[in-house]
Amino acid sequence: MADDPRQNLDSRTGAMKPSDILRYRKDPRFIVALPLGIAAATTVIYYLIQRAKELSPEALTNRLVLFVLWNINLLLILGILFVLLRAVVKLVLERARGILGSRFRSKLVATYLATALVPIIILFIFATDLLRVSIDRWFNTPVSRVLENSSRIAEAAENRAGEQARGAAREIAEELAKPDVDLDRVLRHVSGYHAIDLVGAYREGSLVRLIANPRTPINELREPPPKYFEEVMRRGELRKIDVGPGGKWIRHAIRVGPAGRGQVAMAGVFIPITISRMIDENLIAYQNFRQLDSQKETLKASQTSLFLTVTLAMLFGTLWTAIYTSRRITVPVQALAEGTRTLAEGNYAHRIDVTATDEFGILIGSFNSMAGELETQKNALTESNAEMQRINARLDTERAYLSTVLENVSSGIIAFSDSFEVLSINRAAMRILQLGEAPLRSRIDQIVGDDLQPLRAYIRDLGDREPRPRELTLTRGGEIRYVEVSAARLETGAETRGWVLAIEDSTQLVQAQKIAAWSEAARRIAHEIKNPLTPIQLSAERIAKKFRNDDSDLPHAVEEGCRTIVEEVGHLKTMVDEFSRFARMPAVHLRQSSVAEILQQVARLYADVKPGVSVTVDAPADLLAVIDPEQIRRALINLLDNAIEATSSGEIVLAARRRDRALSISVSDPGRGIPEADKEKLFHPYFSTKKRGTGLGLAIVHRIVYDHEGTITVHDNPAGGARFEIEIPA
Amino acid sequence: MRRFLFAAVFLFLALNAAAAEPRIERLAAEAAHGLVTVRFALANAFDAPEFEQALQSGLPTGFTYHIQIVRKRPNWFDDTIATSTIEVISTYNSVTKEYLLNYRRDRKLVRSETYVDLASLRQAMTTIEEPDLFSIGGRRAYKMVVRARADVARGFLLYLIPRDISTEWRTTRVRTSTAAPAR
Repeated sequence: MADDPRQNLDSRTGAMKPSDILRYRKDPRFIVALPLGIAAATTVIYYLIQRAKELSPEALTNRLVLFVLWNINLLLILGILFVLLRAVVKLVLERARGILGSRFRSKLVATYLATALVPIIILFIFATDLLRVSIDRWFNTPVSRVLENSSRIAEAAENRAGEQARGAAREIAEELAKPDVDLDRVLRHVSGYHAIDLVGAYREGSLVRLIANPRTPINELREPPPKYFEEVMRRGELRKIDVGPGGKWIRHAIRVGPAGRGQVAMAGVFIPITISRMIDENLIAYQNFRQLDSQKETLKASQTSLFLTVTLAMLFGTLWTAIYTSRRITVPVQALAEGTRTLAEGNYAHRIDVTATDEFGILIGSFNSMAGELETQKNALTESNAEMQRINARLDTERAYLSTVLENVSSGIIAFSDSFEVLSINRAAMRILQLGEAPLRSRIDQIVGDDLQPLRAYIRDLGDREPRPRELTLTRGGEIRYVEVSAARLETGAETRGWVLAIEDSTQLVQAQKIAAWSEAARRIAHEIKNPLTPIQLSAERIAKKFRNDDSDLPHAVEEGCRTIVEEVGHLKTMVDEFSRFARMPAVHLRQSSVAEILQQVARLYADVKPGVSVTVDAPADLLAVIDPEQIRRALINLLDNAIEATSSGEIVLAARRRDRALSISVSDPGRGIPEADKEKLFHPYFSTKKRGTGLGLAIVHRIVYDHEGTITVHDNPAGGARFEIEIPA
Repeated sequence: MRRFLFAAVFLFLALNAAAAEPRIERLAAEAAHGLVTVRFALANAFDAPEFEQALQSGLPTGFTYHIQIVRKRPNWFDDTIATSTIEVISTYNSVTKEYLLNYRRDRKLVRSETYVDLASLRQAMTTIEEPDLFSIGGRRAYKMVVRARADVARGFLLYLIPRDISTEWRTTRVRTSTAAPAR
């Protein structure tokens, strides 16, 4: 399908799109045709100007030439007015429609026209005036006088000859008017007397007698027409000049007598060609000059018209060039302005489709690059925004999920900053801490208060060392709560740093454990009490029986029975002391202590206690730690006591090391070791593998380590036996 | 001073009014047997010194007469029956001291005459008699009007635009003649 030309028109202005215009101008055919056209037009104008110079005054004053020149001027004026009006109307419409660049284009065209129009018009007026003044001067110079004088001289020469002929003709006419006159004698007399070249007489327009100088070309002379004689008869006399190849004849005819007679006397003078030519040239020259003079205004008009034609052609060219150049400049500017506006409206996909090779081309290229960058950034921004929205939505979901979880978990969760400002608190925490409303942005120490001193102390110590879970007993409003507190560092960037505190309310669990522990303790106490009671009962019944039977063995039985009762009572006492000690576990008092010294003290207690068993210490002398030395010593004594009992021979090693931010103390024995099944319940109260053990030793150790926020583990010793390892944060 | 100014203006206007302008005179039209003879004269045509100067300089100089015969229609445009253009162009020969007069009717040369006398030439150039110039056929002559105008000179508007200087249109009714047709 052929291209519809209307597709290339701007929908708003109806004109060709700038891109199409410039593309058209980039067409090689246009590029070749334009200079060729300009060159051809220049050649034609130059040729016409040159031809105009060669035109004779007659040609220049020719009515047709004037008519053609004036019509050319009229066409040029109409063309200029059309182009000008069209440009003005277009500019006005473009300005009314608010098309970008129209104001700039108006100013550009106006500037072009002002800079070109004014000088051209001034030059035209000045040159035209100069031309008119120059033409006037041509006819005011002495040349005109010279020509006039020479013409008068020539005319005088002719008149003299004419007067000579007239005198001769008059004499002939006077003689012929007399009666009975000899015509031939009269003619010969006059011819001879006046030395005239031709004498003759006519009657009724017909020649009667003619005498001519034989040296003159009389054969070139033709008879005058009848009308001539009629005129002579009417006017009385008449001169006639005839020009022939040999020269000029001046004849004068005079009526003879009254008009009714029809006789005419004639005399003529011949002027040879050499003289007549000079006379005629003078006459013709002056005639031409007078022609020019009489056509002065026409000449001025024709010259002015010619000059006006060139001026109008220049104006037309200037106007067209101004419009063309302004369009060439404003089209990229218009495209840039349009592009900027489109870009400002958010259409980053817009590109300027205008081909330009000059600075505008660079500008358009930069604009397109900028638009491309903006589009890329906008797309990236859009994608980032969408991603952000997705992330926000996900965060909202997660936050809602987390909030729901936090609000519904039984553990209390409190987040607070390093400045102890509460950032969030869940319902469980508020319930555990018995808070009425969420104390957001309050200081946590104000919330906790003096009545929750353990929790306050835990919070206060958070920054000092690695936080470890703690079991705390809190009393608020006369209500006792057992809680397990743990803390974690809150790392949410540089601005917000703080802690997350988890409070697990284990009051019910502790109470249940207590009930269970007391039940177990009662069972074990009953069992432990029951065990000594049986030998005591049996000893007492044996003594009683011996006494009733008055047995001779009574003293021995009494003695043996008393010894048994005393032993069992002693055992009961020991057991009661152990329970009492376990029940009265003191609070830890942490202070800077030498670990190696504590280990040495414990080792010295058990030196040479059991033959074949030695105790050695392996600890750096300068190893210091923040611990309760009494409690740690007690725990180590319990562990060393068990190790010596389990070891028949060998070396028991008490070792201590600093590992990362913790103190590690181990007790290794080469004894019989601990079965795997017992390792899990080794630290439970009242669990013992010894025949007479209370099962509280390792429970006490575990309690001490726990109070130090440490851990205790049991492993198999690689060399045989068992190895207890304590880790306390330091 | 004011009186002097008024007097000067009055004198100027009076002189202008006194300057006789070329005009068509003695326009007469006679119809006989469907043919109309027209005669008229041009007055004051040679009064302008420029005209005689141009004539004496040897330039072809003359007048163009435009003659129309129209049928008058009351309250409506006239119906032009026929038009004719007569050109009388004289050329002076300074060598022979003669005037050559060419008489053209509707671009066709009718006659060419030589004059040695300026007065005769004037007479020949300004007196027009055209027998049987128009044919009106069966139209009624009394409804016809002949009008004539002469282009006497050429001028320039704004020194540039050529224009003809013409007389006013002169109009006359066509009279019916009872004379026998010329044979």
